[in-house]
Amino acid sequence: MTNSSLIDLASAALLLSGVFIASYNDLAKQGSLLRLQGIALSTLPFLMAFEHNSLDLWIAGFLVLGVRGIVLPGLVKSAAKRIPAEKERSHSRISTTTSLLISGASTIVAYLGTIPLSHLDSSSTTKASSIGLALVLIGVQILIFKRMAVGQIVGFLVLDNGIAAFGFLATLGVPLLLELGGSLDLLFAILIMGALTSRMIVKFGTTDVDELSELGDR
Amino acid sequence: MNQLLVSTALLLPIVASLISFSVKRAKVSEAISIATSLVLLAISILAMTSVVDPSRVVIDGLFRLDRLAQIMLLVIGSVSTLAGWASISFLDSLILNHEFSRNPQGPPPNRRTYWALFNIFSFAMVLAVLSNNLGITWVAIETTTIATTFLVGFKRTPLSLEAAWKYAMICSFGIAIALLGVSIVYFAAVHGGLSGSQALQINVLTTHFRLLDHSAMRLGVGLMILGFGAKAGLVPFHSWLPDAHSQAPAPISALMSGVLISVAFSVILRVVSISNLVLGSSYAHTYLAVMGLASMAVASLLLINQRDYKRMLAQSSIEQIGFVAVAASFGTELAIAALLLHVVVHGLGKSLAFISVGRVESGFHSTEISKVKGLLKNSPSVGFGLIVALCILIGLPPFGLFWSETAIITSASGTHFVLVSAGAIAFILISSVALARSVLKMTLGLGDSGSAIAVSRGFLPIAGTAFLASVLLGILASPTNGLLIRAAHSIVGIG
Repeated sequence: MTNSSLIDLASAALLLSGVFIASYNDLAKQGSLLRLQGIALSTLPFLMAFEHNSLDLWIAGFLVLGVRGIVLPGLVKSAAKRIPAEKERSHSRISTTTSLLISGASTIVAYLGTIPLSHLDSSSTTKASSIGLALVLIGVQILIFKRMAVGQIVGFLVLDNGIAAFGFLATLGVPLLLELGGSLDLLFAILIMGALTSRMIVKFGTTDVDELSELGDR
Repeated sequence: MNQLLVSTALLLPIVASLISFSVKRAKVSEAISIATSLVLLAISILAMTSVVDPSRVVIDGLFRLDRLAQIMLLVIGSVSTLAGWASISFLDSLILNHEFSRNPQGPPPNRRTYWALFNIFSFAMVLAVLSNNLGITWVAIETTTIATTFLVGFKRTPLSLEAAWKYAMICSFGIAIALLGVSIVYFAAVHGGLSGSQALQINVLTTHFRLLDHSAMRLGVGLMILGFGAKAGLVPFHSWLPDAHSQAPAPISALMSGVLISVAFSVILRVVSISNLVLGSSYAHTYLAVMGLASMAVASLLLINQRDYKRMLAQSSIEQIGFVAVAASFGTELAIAALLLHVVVHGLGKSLAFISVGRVESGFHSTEISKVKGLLKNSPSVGFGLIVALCILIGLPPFGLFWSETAIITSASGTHFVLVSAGAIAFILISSVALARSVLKMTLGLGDSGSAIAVSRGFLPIAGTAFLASVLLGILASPTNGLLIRAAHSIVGIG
């Protein structure tokens, strides 16, 4: 298999895992898929580092693998074990079929959205950068339609993975400084959201964000 | 000199944060945090008196202390000094309330965490304004969210938890959109032939703007304005602002309203200056005019029937930052100079307002406007502070907002945005009347004679300092002041 077909394979895994994460409501499954997505994402910089012999890309690859492939999905999986199952509540505002349809539409919109970029550079990786944008849109879908706090955190992670995938596919990765700062910020942001979720269980007895509706202008 | 000032401004808040976290004595944390804010203020004044070369980049081209950075540093230094000062009595009363509460919610408030986060917040804002690299700027703005989320939820009530969650979600989402924008600009720069290490440096992008592809830049700039706009409190991602401001500790609300949104807007100004060179001025200016006017419209309409005084001040901030965006859309040197004055004076006025209502909240245990009456009679110093803040915010002379608003409106006459300026005037009028009505309801009248608020020793000097600074600025700094015009020139005429 050539390098570019491996990159295509990783991109396909990224997109598919995103579509499945959006359609599932089970946190443990979402955590496993998120791990798969993180690993698929880290193969992009690894493959590119191999081809371009770049130390920065190797470092970025290990960073992605560590943060997005191991630590963050691990946090989601441990939250799945820790948080009481709330079977009586619906976890999503839309059905699986609708979610799949929205993901399909997002992919088409993302492809159309990146056409101006592929005019600039017709390499196959730049063309695949629409996958990153599609993941961003799928992340937005999860953020909007999932009702549970951790479900929304998962959406945020998919969105962020999409941006990272876009960066790797379109430009061989953003500068290492930004990658490093971005990963650190992402880690802290997720830890804070996790801490807030724990407080939610104590205060409200649920992680349903629809319960957070006291503030507002009436 | 540049390098020394930049390094001091960046390192000091980190050191202060570490010390505040590790030292047990509260007095030490308080002193070191306020001293840090004062040093930031001193650095900005020192830099303005032209001891530095504003065009020089330092530390591998990552930072610079240009005129916009100097003015933003002035806002950060002055407001964080006031907010830090006010935090002392805020924490005292919060901890006292917790000790005497029959039904305390969660563990007692932790001063060490508060001061450590306060200093990290300052650091992140300083980093954002000094950065010459869009990537570092992005990391800095995201760091402000991380530092402030816990501060918004500091009171540990269910409402503050809700506010913190919404704040974290909306701002992180907005900032993620901005990161996509940054990646696309990087893509355009790398494909234009710039080296990877230089492709996000603002001064390099403005010098080599001809190399950047138009359609990629249109997408990138659009996403960045939208994303950083979330942090600035511009429509459509403005809804976190009233929630967070109404629940956060008053000094933190002062910092967020007075400085954070302006810092985020200064980042937008930098993005716009690149965009104007590459795409011509009409793209970003129209974008800002629409966002600004929409923000003003939403905020002033919500202000009309507002029942909560902290939400009211937050909505006034959305309206003000909307007006700042409108001013930026006019794009003339006068408009930008006036915008900078507006940001400085608004920062002071809004801090005074939040610090005053912080006292009201701790006295009345409610943030409802209808519950508060007769402040001027029963608690004259707080009532006076609130009235002065009102005069500053609605732009009465001699305060600076009068001059900045007049100059901004006048500067529209030569542009295509006369109608936008007419709309802005209408919204300013609506919001000023709404703000004045509510503040007067709270301050005038007889009120309940038993409702006098215990005013801490610190309040009067803080209010007095903010008052004096605002009057001095109103008298000394008109929008035609040389310093502001030079700063505006460096932003508008960057090419």
